Amino acid sequence: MAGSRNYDFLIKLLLIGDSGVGKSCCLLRFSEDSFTPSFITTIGIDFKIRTIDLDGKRIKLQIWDTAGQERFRTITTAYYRGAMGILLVYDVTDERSFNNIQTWFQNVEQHATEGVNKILIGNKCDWEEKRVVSTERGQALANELGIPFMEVSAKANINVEEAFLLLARDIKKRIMDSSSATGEKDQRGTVNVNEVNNAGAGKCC
Amino acid sequence: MNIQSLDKTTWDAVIVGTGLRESLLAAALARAGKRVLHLDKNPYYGDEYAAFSGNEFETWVKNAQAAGLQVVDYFVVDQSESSIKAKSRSYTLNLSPGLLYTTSPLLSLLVASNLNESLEFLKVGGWFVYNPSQGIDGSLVSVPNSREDVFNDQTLDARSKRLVVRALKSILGLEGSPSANSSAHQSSLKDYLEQPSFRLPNQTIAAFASLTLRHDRLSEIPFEEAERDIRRHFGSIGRFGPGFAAVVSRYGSGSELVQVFCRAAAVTGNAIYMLENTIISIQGRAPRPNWKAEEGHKSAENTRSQGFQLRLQSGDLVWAENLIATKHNLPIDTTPLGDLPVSIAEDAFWTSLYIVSNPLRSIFRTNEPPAPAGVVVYIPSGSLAEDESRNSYPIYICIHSSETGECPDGQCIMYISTKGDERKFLDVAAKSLLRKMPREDGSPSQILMSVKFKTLVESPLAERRTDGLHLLANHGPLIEIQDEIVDQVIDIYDSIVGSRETFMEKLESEDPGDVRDDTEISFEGAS
Repeated sequence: MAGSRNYDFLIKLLLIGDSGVGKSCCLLRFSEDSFTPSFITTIGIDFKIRTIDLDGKRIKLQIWDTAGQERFRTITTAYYRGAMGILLVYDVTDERSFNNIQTWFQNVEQHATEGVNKILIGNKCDWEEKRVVSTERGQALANELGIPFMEVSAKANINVEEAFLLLARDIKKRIMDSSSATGEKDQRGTVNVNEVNNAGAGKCC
Repeated sequence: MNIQSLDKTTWDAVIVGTGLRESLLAAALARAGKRVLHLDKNPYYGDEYAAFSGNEFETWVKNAQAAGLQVVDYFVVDQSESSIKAKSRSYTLNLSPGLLYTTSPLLSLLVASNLNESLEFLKVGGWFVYNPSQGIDGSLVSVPNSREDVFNDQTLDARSKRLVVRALKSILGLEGSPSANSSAHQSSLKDYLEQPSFRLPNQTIAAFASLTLRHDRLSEIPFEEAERDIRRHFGSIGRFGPGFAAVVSRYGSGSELVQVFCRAAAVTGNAIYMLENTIISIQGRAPRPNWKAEEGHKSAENTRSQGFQLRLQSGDLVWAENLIATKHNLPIDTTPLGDLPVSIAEDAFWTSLYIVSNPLRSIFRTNEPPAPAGVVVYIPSGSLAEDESRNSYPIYICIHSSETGECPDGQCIMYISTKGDERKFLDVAAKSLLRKMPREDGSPSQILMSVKFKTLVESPLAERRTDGLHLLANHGPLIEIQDEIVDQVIDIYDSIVGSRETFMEKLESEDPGDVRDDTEISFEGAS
């Protein structure tokens, strides 16, 4: 499998934030360039993959969605495992989702790998008449948390691509450029349970 | 956060407790389109399969002691308490080692249902028999994995090697072996291995016994069952690579599997998860109420009209057609047990976890790299002495290296378990083994923390069922994650969905990796 892989680096990203802020919409916009105006909470999205080309390297982005488990704050700790970048998403038309970013940030600090890259995302920035969180407040929070910030609209296709790309770049800088790691370092020593080794099986005597 | 109320919602199944059986069932039912409400009274997933950081573990111990449900014996070296807390996140402390044979139906299920993506499996590389009376070099004897291993074994003479291979062939039912003695099938493992025609050395008898992962005395293990266990062991060797029969998941198989299954259930959009919420009373059997269906929820067809009206800790009133839980997760005074038979037997075990200040590198060596992350050590009954008594049951020590992500580098985790009430031999076993294995700088290995707890296992494992109530047997994971778990969950699934074949089928919308790989857009030069 490793021999046939068509990318140089694999980057695992997570989306985090309150229900209804548009995490899945951002994901679908980025991975499939589609938008579904629907109020149904996340259905059927485990993760999406998109391969991008960054400075001559093929980067496979594997982006995981919360599967609706943010609704009652029951996101599994396993969700955070191996994540290299996290998008903290709020809705600029929903004050509460903005206030909850602090809590989500603490969650990330508690469960994700230390030094994981983060970005603050204010979604639905096209919806000016409903906006309650100003760009300045978003930027101020990002500064306080010490992470980059971007306002996006999955619906109007504003900045979504740029936000993912900014995060991917930061991760590449942190992980790949600082060592000879290929992003598969941790894979050494693991057993591939996809491939049954018929030749060796049951040949004990 | 726009939390919608659960009040007056109806469900195809309400499952209480996020143990492995409950979580697998939730995933299977949700994939089959059933609406599932999955609750756990704890603030964490996993129930008896939970895993904790250093800080969380201390909380778990205190709560378990306070609840009095489990007898917990906690010990922590004063100066290491602060270091465990300081490095809290470097620990993922599991309640059981979660060994999975490579032939485990759970592994096939994970692959077949596309759920292995977020799991990493590591080798459990060796089985050892520990003989405390031997010196440092001779005390740990590796259990042969193959006929070649037997022939290369320096501790056996040529005659013994032939006898061992003959016994091995006989147990595995291979050609050329003496035809199976019909009386053997009623006898114990002890009777079988000690039969005069085998003339097996004691060390070899212990080696065979170690492969059963059973805590019973040899005379108590029916030969037929031991034979099945030993065949499973050898049948598992080589399945995913040479030289190992079992794997563990990084961070702990049980706790990781639970979370993967719960997430898989949630991903369908058919399952809702709530922690720190449980059923406080079952308000009897009731017909399906005419409550407004939850937003976006199509009411199911062909469902029974009788179910349970349940009051939750959150105050919500819900109705469930099926209710699935172990007894300890239900309000027993209001549970309509009806004619449910009582469990046949309950066995007690002492299980434990030790954090050790020694990576024990020498035990993780292998001829077939990569190095294993786990090993199994078997201590035969009668080989440890304390206060003029000897361990009457065998003891298993599963050792996990820091490679599993369960502890920081330079340490390892030992899971020690035994049957009955011989708690004191857990410490004796740990200390005896550590004395034989000093640290590389020659300083003694130290136990930084240990916790021992009593685990009760009901048998048979099968659930008891009456009109939509599925009462799961008490089940304490010991060493391996049992194959029977999958069968039991499929049985319950079948009784609710009416099909075994559709269990954990791949979702139509699922298309892993390759398909999503086709979006090729270059960002070169973008800033």
